[in-house]
Amino acid sequence: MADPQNRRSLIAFVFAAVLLATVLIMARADALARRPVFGLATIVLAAAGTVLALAVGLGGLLAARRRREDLSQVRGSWSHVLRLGVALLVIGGAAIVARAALVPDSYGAYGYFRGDAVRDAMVARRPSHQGRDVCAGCHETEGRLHAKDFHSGIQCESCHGAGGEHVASVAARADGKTEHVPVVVPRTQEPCLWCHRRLAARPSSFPQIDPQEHLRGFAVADLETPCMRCHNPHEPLFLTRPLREARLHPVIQQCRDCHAGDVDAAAPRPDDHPVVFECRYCHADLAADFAGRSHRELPCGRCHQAHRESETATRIVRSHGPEFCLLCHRDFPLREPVGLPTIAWPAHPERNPQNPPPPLPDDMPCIDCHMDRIHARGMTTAAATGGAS
Amino acid sequence: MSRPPDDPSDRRRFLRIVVQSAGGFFFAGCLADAEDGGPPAPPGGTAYDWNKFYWAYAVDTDRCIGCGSCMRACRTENLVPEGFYRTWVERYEIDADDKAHVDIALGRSASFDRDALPPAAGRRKAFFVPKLCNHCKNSVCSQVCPVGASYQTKDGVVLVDEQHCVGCAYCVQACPYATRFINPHKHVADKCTFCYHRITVGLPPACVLVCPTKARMYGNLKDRKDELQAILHRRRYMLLKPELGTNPKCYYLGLDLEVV
Amino acid sequence: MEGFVFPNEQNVVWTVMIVLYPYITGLVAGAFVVSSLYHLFGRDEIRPVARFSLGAAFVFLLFAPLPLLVHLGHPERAFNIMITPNFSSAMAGFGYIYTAYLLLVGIEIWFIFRDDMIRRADGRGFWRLVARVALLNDLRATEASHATDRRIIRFLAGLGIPMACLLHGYVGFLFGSIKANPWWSTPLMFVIFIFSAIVSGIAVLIFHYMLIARINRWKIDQACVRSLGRFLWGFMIIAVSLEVLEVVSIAYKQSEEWEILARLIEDRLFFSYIILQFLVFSLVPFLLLGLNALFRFRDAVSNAILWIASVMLLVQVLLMRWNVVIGGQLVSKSYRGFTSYMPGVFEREGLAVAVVIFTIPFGLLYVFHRFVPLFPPEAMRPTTPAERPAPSQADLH
Repeated sequence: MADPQNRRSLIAFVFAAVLLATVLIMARADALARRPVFGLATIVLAAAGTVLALAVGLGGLLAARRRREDLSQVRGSWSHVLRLGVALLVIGGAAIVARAALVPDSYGAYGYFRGDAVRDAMVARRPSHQGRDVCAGCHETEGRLHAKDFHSGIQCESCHGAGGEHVASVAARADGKTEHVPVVVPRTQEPCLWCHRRLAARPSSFPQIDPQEHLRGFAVADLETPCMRCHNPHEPLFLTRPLREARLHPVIQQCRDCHAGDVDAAAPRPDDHPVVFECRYCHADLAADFAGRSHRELPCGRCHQAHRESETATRIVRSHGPEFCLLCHRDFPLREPVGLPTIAWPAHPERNPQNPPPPLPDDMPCIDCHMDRIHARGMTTAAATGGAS
Repeated sequence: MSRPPDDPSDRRRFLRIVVQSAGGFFFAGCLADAEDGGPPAPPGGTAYDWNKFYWAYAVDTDRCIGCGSCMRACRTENLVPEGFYRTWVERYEIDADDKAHVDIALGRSASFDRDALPPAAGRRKAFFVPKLCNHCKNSVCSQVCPVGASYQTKDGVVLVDEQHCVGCAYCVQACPYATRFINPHKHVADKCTFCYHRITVGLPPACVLVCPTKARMYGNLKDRKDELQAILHRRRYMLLKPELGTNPKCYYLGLDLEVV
Repeated sequence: MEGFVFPNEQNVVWTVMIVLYPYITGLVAGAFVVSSLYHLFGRDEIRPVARFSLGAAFVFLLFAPLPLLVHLGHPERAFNIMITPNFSSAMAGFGYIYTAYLLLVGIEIWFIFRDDMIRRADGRGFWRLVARVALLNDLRATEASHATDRRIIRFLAGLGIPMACLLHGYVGFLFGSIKANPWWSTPLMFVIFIFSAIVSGIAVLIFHYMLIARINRWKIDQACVRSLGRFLWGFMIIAVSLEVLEVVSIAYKQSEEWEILARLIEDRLFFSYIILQFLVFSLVPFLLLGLNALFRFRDAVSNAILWIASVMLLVQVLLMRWNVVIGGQLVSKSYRGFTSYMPGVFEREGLAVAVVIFTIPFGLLYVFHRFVPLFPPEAMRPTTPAERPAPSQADLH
């Protein structure tokens, strides 16, 4: 680089590099700042200066090369390399510019991704599930009934499926061409069993049934009978209170059996309904038997509390081992004595050393031995029907 | 985007190309059309400021009844192609030898119709666990996406840019939770979007909406009064595969050791 | 399918195409290393295959991305990887590493074959045009330019070795860095891929050189193939040791994932991994090459041994790619079960397409040879010089 021409080129290149760095820093700062600091004009001006300086430098180099051309026969060993280099530079430069031009405009706006993609995701589709309030906007009666029901916390669309198409079809029906899209739950057991089929993996506190067992318990011959035959899906009255306190029978009573007309939104929940029935209306002999035993102080609903398959058909206490009785009768080390006979499960006290019971399986229901403390068995079907009035 | 009509966008675009040609990848975001770095606005004129949200999800495994409502809802809400799942419910049954048997009710009805183990197996424990994208804070999928088509929004949702994805499936391999798949019709990566089209207009994700037992919950970690935060402060929770350092934002209450 | 797999794992997403891709880049890296043995490390006995190996590296490199394009869901967006490379991803490097390496090999070839191309450019017909375009219409060649060329070639050959390691090691890293997959997730993967690449590269050169020499009745250069055979033996020992080391270390540590990986090896991959990859296609070539390196057989016997061992090692590396790429995907991320995979023959990512993709480079190599000779004149001498005239460039087949 002893050639003064070359030195001039070198200075031009350094100047170009400094200008380029300035352009980049200014552009970056402007992109990061809320308001442009340098502004478009300054940046363009500086960029133009960069290009100019580059051109000056390159021109100087080319001029120097042309002066050396005469010597190319001796020192021309690099000429083909130079030609290749220029070709590669042209291709590479074109590729760099092409790449920059192909970057989507919003790329990097919020991070290393296409910024517009966020909005694309927002408008990817219209919400299809409408929510209960939209449903109740048209289906007022069902909405009010449902609001009083044990299922009130559950969305209409959990059973009916997404209502988007249904709502759209109703809204467009005015034109007389759009086909109405219904959202009807099939009248089979299946939709109810999605939630209520008895499965070991379901939490035991969740009401669940084996449909065949359930129907046989009520002597229903057709084992495919839809649940909706007896249970109105919008007012099944699965009561949150124990049956006896609530005074409404879960299957037999339905609101509109007595209450004609539309549902009154201000009416109390079924839980607070005045007495309609007592258990003894139907189970008179069982009630009489129960009154003579040690548990007589308890209301029926204390044990037969929530609506469960096992309650109506096979008895809750039988299907859940000893746990149910232990809710009251377990001896917890730190609990205050409650005045009830308790045992420290699973250690069963040997009250009669002369006649010890055989080893008991852990899951054996207490009532297999202790039923005499409660009420007689086999008196449950006294009057499965009637007694509603 | 609220671009003023007289914005010299062509000039900006030209300048962007010049700057990016010179500066390469470092300036990828340079002069992009983001107005003051603000958030994109959702459709319909709804005000949604993504700086005010950081979405998280919680699953209470004790409450899940395995009804499959979430799977059915997700499929219709998001038009998930048949045979692929953005969310699903696993059933675990532990037999007398403490061996776990896991299965899923696949298909359209997504309904379990019988127990997995026969009574003779001496079942010790059984429960359901819903699964979905964990929207990890340190998401592997968006780390490994070679083109930046898989990304995390400022409000904490991991999304796929369907118009930019090349369909290489590297993210499918990298996701430790197998929540991603290649959409057989669009040929791009597909996954749970946290129902981004719903949460940005104030609606809950479809799976949360239809869950009958509130086993699925979602909430905003930037809102101190948010119900989900209250639950996470009160309850003990676990994450899926925490040893991988993905920092999921899907919190599992009552998670069993067997669940991976 | 067996046991429990997550619902989206029922399809294997990386198919036989992704088996083929690292296989082909492995051939590239290996062939390049061989050419560098001559150009950089001064192994003069390799001269007969030095240009051929570079040519092979180049054509395989040209076709390496093809299986990826066939695999991509949106091949038309393939350039996104260069337009918006997300450098937090190992895969984002692909576009630039690949392009840089293609340029490097292309430029090295340009310098090495410059004299031959100049000869072509002085001729007539189609090849004259091709040569003139390729030479950028600069037909001057002097002593001084040759000296320059030699310096540049040595420089590029040196630069190419780390580049080859980068290109191929990157593929290993791509797999080894996926923490979600217990079968892939090991830092050894990077090294294993490099060494198996060198093995496959040397093997394909021995295989192909001997095949071409046989077809054309050229005299096989014994010094060259014996030397290559020794290199092959050495590199295969390293490669196979690393492959064994990888699985032994997981097994010995008895980590959480070993339970499922043991089932994978003993059950799912028993045939392709234990029996084929190790017992047949590693052990047998190891013994054959060992015998050939330690004892002096007759040329014909030695060549037969070398050729068989090379073919077997080519299969071994392919099996290794299969067992890594497919085997890793068979394991469910639940660690509770396996999915299954068998490629179809005539589907998009099927075996037929794979075979076609793998065959094209060999055909292209022939075209390359028609343009400029891939072998130096002394390598193309017939077995019995008296019977045959001096070979021309056209009798490759």
